[in-house]
Amino acid sequence: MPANSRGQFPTFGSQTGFNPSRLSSDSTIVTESATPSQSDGQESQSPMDTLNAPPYQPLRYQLPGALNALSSSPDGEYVVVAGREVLKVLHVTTQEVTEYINLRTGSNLSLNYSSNDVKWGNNATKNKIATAATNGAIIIWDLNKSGRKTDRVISEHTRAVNRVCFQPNSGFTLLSASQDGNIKAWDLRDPKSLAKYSYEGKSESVRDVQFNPLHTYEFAAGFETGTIQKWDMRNLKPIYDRKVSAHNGPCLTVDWHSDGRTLASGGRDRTIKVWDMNSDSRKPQYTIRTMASVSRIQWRPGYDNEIASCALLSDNGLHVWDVRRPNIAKYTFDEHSTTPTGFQWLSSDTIISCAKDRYFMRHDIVGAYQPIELLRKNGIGWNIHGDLVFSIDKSAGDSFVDEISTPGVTSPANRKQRRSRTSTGDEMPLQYIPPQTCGIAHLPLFDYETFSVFAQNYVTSGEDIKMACETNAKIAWSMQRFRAAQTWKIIQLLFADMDDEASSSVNASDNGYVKALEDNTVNGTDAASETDSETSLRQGGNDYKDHDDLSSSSSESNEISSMSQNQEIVNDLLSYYTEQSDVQMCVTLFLVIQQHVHVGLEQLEDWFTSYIDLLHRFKLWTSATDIINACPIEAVRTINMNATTINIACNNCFKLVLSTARASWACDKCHKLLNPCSLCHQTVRGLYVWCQGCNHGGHLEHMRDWFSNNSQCPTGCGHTCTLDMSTRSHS
Amino acid sequence: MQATRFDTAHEDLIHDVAYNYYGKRLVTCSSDQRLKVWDFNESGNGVAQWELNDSWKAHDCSILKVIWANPEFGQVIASCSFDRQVKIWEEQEIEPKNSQKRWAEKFRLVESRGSVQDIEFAPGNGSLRLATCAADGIVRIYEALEPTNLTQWPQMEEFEISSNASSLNAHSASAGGGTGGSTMATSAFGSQAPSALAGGQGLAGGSAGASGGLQQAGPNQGRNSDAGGSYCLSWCPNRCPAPMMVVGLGRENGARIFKHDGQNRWYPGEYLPGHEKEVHDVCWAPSMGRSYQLIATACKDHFVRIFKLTEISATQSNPPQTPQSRNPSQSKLNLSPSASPNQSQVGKRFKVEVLATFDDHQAEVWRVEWNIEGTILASSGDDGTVRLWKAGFDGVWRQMSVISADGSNGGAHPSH
Repeated sequence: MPANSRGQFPTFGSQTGFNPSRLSSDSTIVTESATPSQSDGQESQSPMDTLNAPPYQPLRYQLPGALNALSSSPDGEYVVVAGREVLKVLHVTTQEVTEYINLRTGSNLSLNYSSNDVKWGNNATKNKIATAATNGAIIIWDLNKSGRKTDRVISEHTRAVNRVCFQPNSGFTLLSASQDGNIKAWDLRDPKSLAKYSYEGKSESVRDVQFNPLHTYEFAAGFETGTIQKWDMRNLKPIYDRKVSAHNGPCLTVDWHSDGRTLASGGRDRTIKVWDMNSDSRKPQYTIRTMASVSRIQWRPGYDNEIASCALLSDNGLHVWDVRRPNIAKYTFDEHSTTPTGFQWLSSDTIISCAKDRYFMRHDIVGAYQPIELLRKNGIGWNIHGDLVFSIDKSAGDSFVDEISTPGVTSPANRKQRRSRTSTGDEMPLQYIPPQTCGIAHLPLFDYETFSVFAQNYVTSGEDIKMACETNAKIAWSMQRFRAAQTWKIIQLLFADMDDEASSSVNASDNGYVKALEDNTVNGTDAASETDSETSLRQGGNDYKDHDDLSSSSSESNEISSMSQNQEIVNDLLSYYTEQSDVQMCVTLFLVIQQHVHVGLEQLEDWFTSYIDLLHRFKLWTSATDIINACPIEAVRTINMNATTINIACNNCFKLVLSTARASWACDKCHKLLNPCSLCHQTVRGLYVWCQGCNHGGHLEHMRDWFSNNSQCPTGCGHTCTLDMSTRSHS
Repeated sequence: MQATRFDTAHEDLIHDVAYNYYGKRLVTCSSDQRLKVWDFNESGNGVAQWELNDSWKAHDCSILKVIWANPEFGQVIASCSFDRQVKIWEEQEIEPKNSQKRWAEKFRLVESRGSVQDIEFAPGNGSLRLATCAADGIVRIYEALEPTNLTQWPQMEEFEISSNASSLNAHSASAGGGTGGSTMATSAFGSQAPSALAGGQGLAGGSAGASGGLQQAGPNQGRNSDAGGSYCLSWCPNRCPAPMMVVGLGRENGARIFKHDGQNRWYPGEYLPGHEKEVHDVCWAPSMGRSYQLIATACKDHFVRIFKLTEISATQSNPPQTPQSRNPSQSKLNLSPSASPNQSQVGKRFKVEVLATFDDHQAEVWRVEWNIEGTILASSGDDGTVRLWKAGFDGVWRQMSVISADGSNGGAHPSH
């Protein structure tokens, strides 16, 4: 810290009886303590953050080092923040945060001051602050002292002190929880004494300790082993009152509910659990599953069911949970850029927090966001049959937990009594489940039956258009698809005659078609796709290319015109069915009359891929394969050629036989013949029969011969292969 | 229309439901951190019913979306969660049903620095690719290198959704190096005014990559708050020379089409206008060979909108279609800011028109979903209803029917 802030200390020291509330009215001191921050480059800009901010921005205050813990004075006006290099008292109002005292003055880099935890005293100790150091020291600071504020240094713990805690009603007793496995109580009235009591939890390191706010002779502690213990200080026997195995892995934090009976604990197993410490149940009343290990928790004052938590790692949020809805945080403050290390409720709506990002913040609950607002409350999904699965939120209300249909009240309407949750216990029924309806609507949108009948029965070959149209029309008629039937009839009328001619003189007809195509290319509207398709037709395996040279030959002109007329009608038909999404009709129609119509390549690909996809979805594999094979588009036809591999393994060494492509009948690895007959020792290339018991076998003929006389395996392996036969004959 | 109630026994809100390819399996995801898979059991005395296949705790936070992969890759589902992860699950036939072990976690995608809000498998055969978008405003595209074992999912490409980040920041992660977050373009961080020093500190180390969240700037700048915005995406399911998708722009109130340039970059395309608040969901309809494309959006401003995209025929001049590049990894990082995205593009260009807007929900609309044929749109909103929309023979879109939470099916308005 800069020198001038140290220079202020005499001002404080000269005061008699530190009284924070009185100090706040002492304008000179407050302003003085506000100014020193200007000498510090980092601090000077931090309050600026509040300026250009949207409403409800939290108050921020940047400190020179990472922060580990904070604690507010009993009246809430002052906050002490502590870290490895920082120990400062801040004055916090609703408007601003100013530095009040820097307790880490001078250049003492003693490990004593590297604080794990800090607590502000109360009542008799309302001007005292206790810090817990990583080297095991506990330091009591007296803000009334002049000069160095260090009141007392206790170094009785052998390892780091994780948490300290003042007794709530007197403030004289201080509890400390240490990594060395001890909880010690100190009477601060007696400055010299050793620990008044020492409680050995008979357990591992103690991570947290806290007095019961109501019955102040009780305290609870959380242990590295995951247990929590309740102690009664009146009980002189060194044994806990009650012990619960609370967490899988270390328990990092505990917090008493204001009712003095309920205790919450948080652990590295990423859960917060709520316990009734008066009951003997080994199961928690509630379990909140968070996304990261829980490092600190505190019940929200004034809200019996709400508890705030922050994580040890990876989650920068400060979450407020309603225990009755353990899966979604009710509020989240997401302002720190690292994990918050300490926080405290100042009132039921105000929370202060600090983090390793060096920031101290004062948040208001209105500045928090509600994660539930970001979540979709409903979902829908279609399937191919036209079923629509949906989950929709019934609750019109905005309440996070609907009080009416919640806990305790056993209304038949809600499903709190979840019997299936035996694993987590009988107390779980208190959980709130938002009303949501999930169901499946069956919409008669897609006639699966007709589709599959058509898929399986339609004639798709264009060899005999007349026959194909007639058959298809009949099928459509029988399925009561009269429009489709009509379409087939029309197609038959248009193309059947031509087909006859075509069959009489194939070449002529083909040439006519090409001619028509060229006509279209000239007159057509969609010149680009026409060209596309023509080239594709040439590539597409049809033989038009070969006829190109002949295309100037004998076609009659009136035939050409009728062709293009037909083309128009067919185009209309096809675009109608496309618009109807009836790709089945489009594809079938095209396949039947593909010799005579012209469709854009892209259009074709769309139809075919869509139709094939539909066939696959309905598991009509055979039809799909037929369509794929019939498709004039190379890219579609290759679908069938992809990834169809049959691997053969050697029956001796079970390695893949790779040389089958070269028609070798021996294994590469073990150089043995594949599937040799047990009798003739030749590879079996036809029917291979083998015993399921001993896996030996051979040519069907040989085996039949052998087993007509023998019952044991021909290899001499000793297996009685014809067991089945013999038992039958015996019976 | 008949409806069956379906009791999932989830313990909190269900956020997504999805049929598999064949429509015979369902998966549901919920805030109770569980996934549940259901099988439609048709065997046995003719009474077909949905049976629970397995239910397991899949994430550490609300699970926002769950999807099925095409069955050619096996029984694979992907889920995304508020816990910033995407997980890939595969069914283990050897494990008994309802053992909580039936679905094994095959991979986690952990690059997102915010809750992952939407995921979708890319259409098309052969390759298993997954697009994710998270609260950090980045769309990431992953590909299973070996779809048969699903244990390698390098991030292939990523781009920023925010328009002021512009396409210049879209870049690909080199193959295999997908983990550990590729270098972030620093200028894209934060919003409009990078406030001097506070922002500068964090940004200086902005390309530190793996340091993840720690590299973030001062308090307000570049924070990837989960509250930052909700994004959504939907691939174009139809044949196109290069992949496209429509993305909801979060706080920017709108949706935009993003197109792949055939190499390794994505550039922003057409903007879908008219939204007054955040777009909650987008869905690109299968076109089934129709000459135009349909996209539906669900918006916080209570509207369902349907957009029609018609290809601008100027694309005639396109070079012959290049085979869709399946292997963008081999191309080098191409960050040269001079390359205007409008040049060298192989994608289509569209004329965008609004076909229909409906405010019948009178509440925030959260989901839109086209049926398989792209002819009927379903939408669901905070009013507790699912509404179905269909075009009549006159081409006008109308409400076809309403399904409401109390089980009653509202009056079906026959479309013409």
